[in-house]
Formats: sequence, structure tokens, C-alpha cells
Amino acid sequence: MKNRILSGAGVIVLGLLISLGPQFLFKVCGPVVSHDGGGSTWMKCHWSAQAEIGVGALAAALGIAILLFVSRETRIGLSVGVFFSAVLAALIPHVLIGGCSMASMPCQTLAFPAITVFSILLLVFSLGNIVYLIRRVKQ
Amino acid sequence: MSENGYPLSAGRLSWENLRRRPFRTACLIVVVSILAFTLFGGSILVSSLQNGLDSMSKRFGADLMVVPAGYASKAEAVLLRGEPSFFYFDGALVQQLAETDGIVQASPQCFLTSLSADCCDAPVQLIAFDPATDFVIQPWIAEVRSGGIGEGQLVVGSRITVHADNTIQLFNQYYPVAARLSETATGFDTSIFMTRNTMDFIIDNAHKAGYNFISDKEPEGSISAVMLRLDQDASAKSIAYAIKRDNQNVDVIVSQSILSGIAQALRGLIVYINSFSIVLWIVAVIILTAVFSGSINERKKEFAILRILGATRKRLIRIIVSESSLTGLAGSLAGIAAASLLVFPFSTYIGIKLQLPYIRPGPGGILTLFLFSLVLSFAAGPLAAVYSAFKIGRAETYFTMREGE
Repeated sequence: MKNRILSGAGVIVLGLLISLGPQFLFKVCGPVVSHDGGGSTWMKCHWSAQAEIGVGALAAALGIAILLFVSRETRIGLSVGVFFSAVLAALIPHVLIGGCSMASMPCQTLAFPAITVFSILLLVFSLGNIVYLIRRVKQ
Repeated sequence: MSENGYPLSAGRLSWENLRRRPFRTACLIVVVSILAFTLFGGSILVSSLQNGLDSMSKRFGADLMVVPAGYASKAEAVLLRGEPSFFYFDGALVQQLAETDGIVQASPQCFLTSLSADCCDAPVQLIAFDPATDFVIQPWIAEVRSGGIGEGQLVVGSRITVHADNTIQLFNQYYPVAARLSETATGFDTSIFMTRNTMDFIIDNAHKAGYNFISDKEPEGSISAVMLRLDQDASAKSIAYAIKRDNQNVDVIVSQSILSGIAQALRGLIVYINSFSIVLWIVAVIILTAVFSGSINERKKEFAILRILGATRKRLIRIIVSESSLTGLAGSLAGIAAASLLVFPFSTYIGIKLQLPYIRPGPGGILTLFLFSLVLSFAAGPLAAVYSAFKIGRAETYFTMREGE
């Protein structure tokens, strides 16, 4: 019970931070205004942040499922899903989509490092939960 | 043998003792991890700031920088933070300055800013130098590329990403990048360098593509700054005063004044971080001593039973010291890991927020600081337990068992 609540709540919080953080807390860069007055265009970091909404929400949904399912075996499976969501969340800004070209832009200085840190925490957290649950199942 | 079937060694006993009291163990680990976090995070911060200042002093190159009147703060923003800016004055001043007493070298530079939609998703500073007289940019380029740069080629600062085909886009045209410079912790990291002819070529192409530059003067034929190197015996302040007196339409920036201002701010911060780390280490040792002393006092009878079962005094001391070592090691590693999650990914952000030059140490430096922090924070645990360990080692088993009767 205690593990279910702690692990579920932890995954939900980290998933929400990955999903909503780049939108509200550690924002990515804004749109670039075109020099010829032809409107504005979004930079790559914006699309990374959009992708993180989905990946973070998926992790949070898995966290809710961890809270609801009593079976340890099911929770191991859900934690494996969280683990791979964390890997994906870390890869989006660095490999899969990327961000702005200059290292001093807000996305590169704050948003991406924050996503990386929360992804690492989610990864370690889910891995710890998997190891703990496997040991409990074996006992 | 323990309940898990392991031999009941001092290490195993310590491990089981820690495992059976998870709250106390967690508290001890938290205390050590706060100490390790501060020591490692603080030492990385101090080392990065020192690296940044060293690099900045090395890279400034010029003793004086002459800019149009009213643009000194903008020029400083270009130099220190890479905030893109452009301002122009007449290039004829270079010859006049070069002939002034006490000035050894004078080299003009011309500034231009790129468009947001160009290479770097934000405007960047374009700096053109005169290859015949330059003494600031070329020695720096020589560190990464022998033979300097040719006409039409660009050199970019360390924080600018180039395309896979080694080109960058400026005013809708692609230009080849010859090299990327090493990190300097100055505005040069987000600047693009080229010869004056290359800049004229880029401006020409931009005009042809329909771009116009909003400025009181078009950049062609004008310059933005004159970099001056002084004679070793010359006083920078008096020459700056003389230049200003003879030319009302210029401002003069003295590099030493900027550097000494930064060095002063840095010294204050470093003293604060070091003092805080020392105080925290002392406080952590005091807290751990109190906790170990209390906990061992509480477990006196447990140790007396171990003595009756045949454990030597030395073995009791070993149990206590290994308990404290295990918590010290776990806390140190946890604290260093937490500090790493903060100081490494956010290093650029920390540098920007501090508004001080910031260059992270290399792998060797990081390893040294890791070992330094690990040893100091780990040592706090055993050091705090030594007193309690010897106290329990000296206690008479018979009196301990009869205590309270």
C-alpha cells in the first residue's frame, strides 16, 4: 500500500513536471518574428515541448495506473513503461527533435536541462521501483 | 550467522543495525548528503568562476577599447554578455590613435547583428576585424586553426551551433565556417568573426537580397570600435583620459576596470561559498557526533551483550565505525549525485544568472573536486563516531548490564 501510493504519486508528479513544466514553469523560447512582416515561426524547441506534453502525460497516466493496481506484477509492467517514457522524455530535446542553435537561448539554458533532470529522476525512480517490486514478488 | 544466512561480521552487523532503524539512518544520510551537496556544488561553482575569470582576462587582449560616445555600456554588453548591438563612427580615427604616445597597436573592429531567423534562432553579434592590424581575435583563432581564416570564411564562438555541412545562414545566404573557438565565458562565445572584407561581402549580398540596415550610418567604410594595446609602462587611465579629451565624440573603455570589477564581485562570492562550506562541515560533524553519541548510549546494553557473546572491544569499535562509514559513504554519494544534477545541466543558466564569467572545469578538475568532496563529507561520519566508539570500547560490561537496576 505504502509503496503503491509513494511510487504512483512520485511518477505522477514527475510526469506532470515533464509535461507541463516547459509550458508554464521553465518555458522554451517564444516564436521568431519574421523580418519581412510575414508573421512568426516557432523554433524547434517549441515542438520538443509539445512532444513532452504527450510523453509526460503518458508517464503521469502510468503513475495513476500504479496507484490503482494492487498486483505487484502489474505494477512491475507499468514501471517498465514509466522507465521507457523517461528515456523518451530525455531523448526528445537532445536527439529526436532538439532545440535552438545557440547554447545561451532559454530552451538550452533552463527548459532542456530541467527536462533532462526530471527524466533522470523518473528513470531512477522507476528503476528503483522495478527492483523493489521484483524483490518483493520473489520473497 | 545472520537471519539471511550471512556470517555475522562487523560489516554485516553494522548493515543490519542501519537497516533496522530506517528513520535514523535516513536522517544521518540526509545530514551527510547536505554536506556533500554543498561541498561538491560549491567547489564546482568556485572552480568554474575562477576558470571564467582566467579565460576572460586572457581573451580581452586589448587594454583600451574606443567606441562612439554614448555606446560604452552597449559595447560592454557585447564584450561581456554577447548582447547584439551595432554602432558606427568614422574609420579615420584609427590612424590618429595609432600615432598617440603610449599606444603600441590599434586595430579597428566593425559590428553587425544577424537576423532572428538566421543561423542561430536569435540575433547574434557579427564582428569584423582587420587581419593586418588585429591582435585580439587572430591569436585566439590560431589556437584552433593554423593559418588564420580566408576571405569569405567565418569563425564562430563556442555556443553557436553550425550546420552539418559546416555552414551558417546569414541574411538568407549560407557561408562556410572555418573553425569554432574555445569557450571564453565572454560575449565572444555567441559571436561570429570574420575579416572586414568578408563582412563587406555579406553586407553587399544582403543588400542584393533586399535587406536594409537600420542605423544612422551604413556599416560600409565605418567602424564600431578601435582596440588598443598600450606600451607596458603606459597608464591605461591617463591615455583613456587623453583620448577622451582630444575626441569628444568617443567613449573609452578600460579593460582593467571591467576585469577588476568582476574579480571583486567574484572574490566576495568565493569567500562566501568557502566560509559557508567550512561552517556547514563543522555543524555536520557536531550533529553527527550528537546523533551517534545518543544512539550508542541508547544501545549500550546491546553492545554489552555482544561483549558477553565474545566480541572484543576492537570489534565493537569496528561495528560503530563501519556504521558511520556506511552512512557517510551513502550520504556523500547521494549529495554529490544531487549536486551534479544541478551544477552540470544548469551551468550556462547559473553563469547567466550570476552575470559572472563561468566555465565548467574539465574532466580532470571535476574528478579532483569529486574526490575532495567525497573524502571530506565521508570523513565527517567516522570522525563523529570515533568518540562514541572509544567510549563504548572502554565501558565495563558488568556495570553496563547492571545499569538502571
